[in-house]
Amino acid sequence: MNVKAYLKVKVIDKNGKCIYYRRYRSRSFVANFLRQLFTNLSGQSINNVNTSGGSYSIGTTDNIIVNDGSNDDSYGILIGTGTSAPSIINNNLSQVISNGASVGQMQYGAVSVTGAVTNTSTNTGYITVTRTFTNNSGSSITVSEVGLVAWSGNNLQTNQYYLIIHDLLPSPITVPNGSSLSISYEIQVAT
Amino acid sequence: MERMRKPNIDVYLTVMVKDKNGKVVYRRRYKSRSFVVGFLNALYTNFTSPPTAGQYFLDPNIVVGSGTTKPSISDGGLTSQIGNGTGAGQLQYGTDSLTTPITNLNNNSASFTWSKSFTNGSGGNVTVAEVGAYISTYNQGNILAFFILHDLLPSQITIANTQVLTVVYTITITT
Repeated sequence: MNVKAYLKVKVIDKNGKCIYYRRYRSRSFVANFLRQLFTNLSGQSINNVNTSGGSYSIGTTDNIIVNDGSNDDSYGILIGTGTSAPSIINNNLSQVISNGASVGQMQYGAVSVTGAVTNTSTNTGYITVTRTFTNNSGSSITVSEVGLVAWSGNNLQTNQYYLIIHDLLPSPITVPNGSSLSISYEIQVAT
Repeated sequence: MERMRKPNIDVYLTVMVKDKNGKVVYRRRYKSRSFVVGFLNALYTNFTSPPTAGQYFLDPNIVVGSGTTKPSISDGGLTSQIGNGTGAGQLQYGTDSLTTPITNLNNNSASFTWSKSFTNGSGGNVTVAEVGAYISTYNQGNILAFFILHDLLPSQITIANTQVLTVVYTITITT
């Protein structure tokens, strides 16, 4: 067994009650992640595609940062309304739900990343990346896709945002006004 | 709506032995089973890197050993790593080499290979029973190594004097 990712989605209503919870097996690391890993390990720069669709040369010292702060939709876990099946060459979600409290928007919380939890009985370990999205738009919003976007960092070379995971939810989720949606990627290894 | 299928990142391990004339005398390909927690720790370091710190991966390093203990999630290295050199029981470590990723739109996959050769100049046989790999992260001048893969070979391989063992990890993602 190798690296697996699980996607957990949870909707909490305005009273704090969990009204929806599902856990799926994520399937969709995309090629950008592999290219970034290759360039870091080989020291050979190759091209990636950023979230705007532009090609750029990966810096050998580029990072894979995902722990974005709140009220920003440029990287970390992103959500969207697109319904296209993910492809290995995807560079962004099909239709990103932007950060905000206007119609069709959700307020992005800060991304948290937990360190590795290991279970020596089952020989497994995982890290978790989580973000909460709050709907204060005034009406319900339906979420159908999720992704993880990384930032290369801005101190070294490229300062780019690039998609590394893209998942289409098996069932779209309706988030009522006043409710929040929590998305977690659990990246797991098993020995 | 399309149902999510199984992912994700798979690793295949190919081991090959060539004699002194370059003839392949042994070749096997396995599905590697054994990412260990070091991979997650390295990924965590990168995921949470402060933008001004610049933490990134570097220094891939495939290693071989003679240990026969079953890999564990918490392993921090091979059970018994074979040293680099030409002394008894040693192998001469080559350079880690990576090939440019190939993307296949027909099956929505992408992969690259990571390989290294080990030459037996010890004068006697050397038996290899386990394979593993390290990567490092850089953080403002400090380099920290993480042991990320540990595989016990289904069958031990005896490398005769002058023979060359090549280990290839093929890392594949499928969308």
